[in-house]
Amino acid sequence: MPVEQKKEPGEVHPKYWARTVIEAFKNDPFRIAVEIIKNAADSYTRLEKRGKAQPPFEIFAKLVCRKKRPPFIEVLDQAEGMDSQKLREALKYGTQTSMGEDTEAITSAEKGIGLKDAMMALQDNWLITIKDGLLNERRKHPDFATGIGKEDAKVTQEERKKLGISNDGTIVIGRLPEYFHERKFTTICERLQQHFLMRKLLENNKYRILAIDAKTGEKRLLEHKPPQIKEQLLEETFDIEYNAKGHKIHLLVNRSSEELPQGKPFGESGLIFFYGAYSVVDLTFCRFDRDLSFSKFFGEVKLEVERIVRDPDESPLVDEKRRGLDSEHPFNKKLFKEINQRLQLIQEREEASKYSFDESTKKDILRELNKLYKEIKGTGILQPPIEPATFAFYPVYASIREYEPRTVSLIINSSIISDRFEISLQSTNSEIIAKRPVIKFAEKPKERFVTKQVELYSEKANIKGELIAKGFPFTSESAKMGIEVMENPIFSPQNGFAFVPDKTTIVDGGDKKVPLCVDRNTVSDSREITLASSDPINCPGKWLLPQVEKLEKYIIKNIVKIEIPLKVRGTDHVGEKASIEATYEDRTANLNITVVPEPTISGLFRDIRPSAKDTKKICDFIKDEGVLEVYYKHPLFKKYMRKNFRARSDFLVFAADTITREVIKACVASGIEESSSRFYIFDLDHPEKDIETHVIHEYYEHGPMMHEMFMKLARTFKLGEE
Amino acid sequence: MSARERDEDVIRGITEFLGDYSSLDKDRLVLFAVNFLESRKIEPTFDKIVVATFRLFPKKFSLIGFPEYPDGRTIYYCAFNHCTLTKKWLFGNVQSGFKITERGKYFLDETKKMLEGEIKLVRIHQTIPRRKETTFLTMLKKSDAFKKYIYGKKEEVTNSEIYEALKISSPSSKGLTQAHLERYFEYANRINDSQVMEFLDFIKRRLGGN
Repeated sequence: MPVEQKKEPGEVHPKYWARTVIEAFKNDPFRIAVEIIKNAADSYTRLEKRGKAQPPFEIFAKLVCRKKRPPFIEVLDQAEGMDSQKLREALKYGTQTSMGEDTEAITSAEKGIGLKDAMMALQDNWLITIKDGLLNERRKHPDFATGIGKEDAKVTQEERKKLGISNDGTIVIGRLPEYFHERKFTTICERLQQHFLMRKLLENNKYRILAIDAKTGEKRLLEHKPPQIKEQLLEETFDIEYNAKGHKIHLLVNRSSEELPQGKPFGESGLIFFYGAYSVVDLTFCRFDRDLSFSKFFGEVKLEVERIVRDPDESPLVDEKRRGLDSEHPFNKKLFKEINQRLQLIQEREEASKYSFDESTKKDILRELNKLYKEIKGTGILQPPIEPATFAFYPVYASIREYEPRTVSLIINSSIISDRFEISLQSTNSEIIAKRPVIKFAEKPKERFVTKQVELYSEKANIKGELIAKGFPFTSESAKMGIEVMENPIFSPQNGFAFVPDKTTIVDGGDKKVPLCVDRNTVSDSREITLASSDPINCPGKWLLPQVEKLEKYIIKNIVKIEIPLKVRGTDHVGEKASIEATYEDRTANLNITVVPEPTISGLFRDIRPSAKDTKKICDFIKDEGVLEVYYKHPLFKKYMRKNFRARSDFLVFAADTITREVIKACVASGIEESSSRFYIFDLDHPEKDIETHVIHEYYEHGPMMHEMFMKLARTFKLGEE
Repeated sequence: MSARERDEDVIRGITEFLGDYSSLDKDRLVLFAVNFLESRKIEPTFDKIVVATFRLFPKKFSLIGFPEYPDGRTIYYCAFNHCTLTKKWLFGNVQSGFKITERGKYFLDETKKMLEGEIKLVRIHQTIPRRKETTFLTMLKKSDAFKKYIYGKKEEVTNSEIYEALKISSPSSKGLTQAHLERYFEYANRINDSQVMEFLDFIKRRLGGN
């Protein structure tokens, strides 16, 4: 250890330095080591740029680790070394000298805290340097005073041997402060490898940073392996205009296959902002920093900011405490704005797939919706199949299954409808229920025939009855339809345990749930059902019957009905057949499955998707694509997306009503475009008023049904799987 | 006079239904005919159903090219395959005869209303039975040549499209082309399809011109 010969007083008040050092390093004490290592690397870089050194450049970081005290560190390089003049410059306050890896810069983008601050953080620190055969020893006291050991002393071979510097070079030594909590060599090495400020340096093959355990002599080459790239999301170069000059920015964003740790200094998720070859200035995702939706993303931003760095009048890009880029710096403001815009696009794209609706529910609803649209428009398959003189049921006879509702139509000739006209529906069998006892008309419909849906339901099999419709007032007309209630096969599972039905189809690459019925009398203490599937069908290996206290929910009449999820492994299995064998105690049930191609959804509405776009609308219909987008980032939508929101009626009603209104608007707009006679316009040049009237009318007519559909859809709003 | 002779006389005396029955599907008309027999206390056996249906609705149930003969095959399909097995409007079979079911009565009522004009069917059902003539003329109508002709793009119809429409693989044989064309003419004539006849005339001119 050198001996201090004299002491040069420090500038500014000592308390300032104590505070500065604590603020700079307390939250991230590894930066002390990083600063010293980086300083050594910069020295090599400057030598290389002057053509005086060839890679690889070795930096040795020797650690003396102790159990109860912070480790002692010694960083050695064989680079430039410093003479007394340079040392004075480097260690004095407010220095402006060639710094960092840029030889032409007299300051660095990070200027403010550097070697001298790192040294002040080290206890018993010394900087020993040899240049041109002259040895210099300096230290920094916590009050910024500079301690001087040897000054321009001729170095002896013995000293060289002892220091391990054959030509020029520098050693910085000192004990890490108390707030440096790591004690183990391996942990310190790992942390140094993970530190964002070290990342670009460790990825650079020119530099070999070797950590040495002084106790064991173990040498470890520090390396940083970036996360595995699953997909490159963006690679773009753009300019930031600043001080009438363009500065190139290279932005690269990747997606990893796994979620990455977030946050400085050891997080992997984020953008590494750097200039030169390895000078890292920040790790952040700007506005999206620590946003969970970015937890699989990582990348880098290479800044061509040398012109700003070289300008001595320019304020540093990094904030005064060196925590990262200064968000108030005008250049950084522009930079963040540009990056945020690009990240937002990525987020919108990604988050569209992040949230999703259940596919099968969505498809059912889209089909239903397109049928409804055709009905609203007034042509197509829901055009009444019959045109009665008064009113008539269609079909005139229906077989329904116990516990399964079925909808039939009552087709009414508008000519018999007057104000306050209503049709009452009465079942001759009290066990058969028509869920709509009265059909009322507030006004005379515009179309010639009106189709009203009537839902039939019964819980008793093998009964018959009639549904009689009677008009009132001004007519004594009536219509009837026959109804028979059939046994539902789910209540008689073969052998008391069966898939009902025992064969099904599944869309290629899709999934579905199939009902497995268990006679409640056969349910014993055992809850486990084992399932074996054959390719290409995938299903759980076992399924548990609900617990006794929850079983009631699954019991219908005499059976326990559970639903087993199935999935097709991958795609391209159309036409393939598979089976599932379910075993419960000594009973077996088989299900035969055929993989079929996905039926295409045609019509006005082809998709409904959640979107992360920032818009003023909550929901929008994109006509060209036939896509209904739901913007779940809208503040009103977010307001309802609280804990368990899928089960909350306020969320469901809000979502359903918003979508319903947009769908109705789209139907009317499209109907008018297709010259549907249902939507008459008085003034074709100013149709707004009539459109509004039509929308209101359709909302009252079809709104309730759509509400139900979209509430069902909103319940399936979920975080998607990649 | 035996009961059997009485039934036959009654059936022979049936005259064509006076209203418009062209838009109704054949299944409903067979159901109506079965009820027609039942209401006259005639057991609806298959042969009686065939004749009664034909006499009531000759335009729907006659053979192609032979309007004086009933199309027994179509009536069999309607009575047994459709009305009995699928729709369950009737009960029975050819050996046992047929009977209208409870369900069938509702559709019978609806059919009567349709025949009386109280309910109008939106969809018009085909009258001509599906035989070779209709099958091949339907295919001809689906050909590119026919579609272009119909859409007024006669000039765009190529010879290869014409040969494809006429189902001629080797256009070098003029005799075969002539034979196919004649056969299509015959079919179109038989089912009285003027649109196809015009198209065939156009083909004839085009090929003759070449």
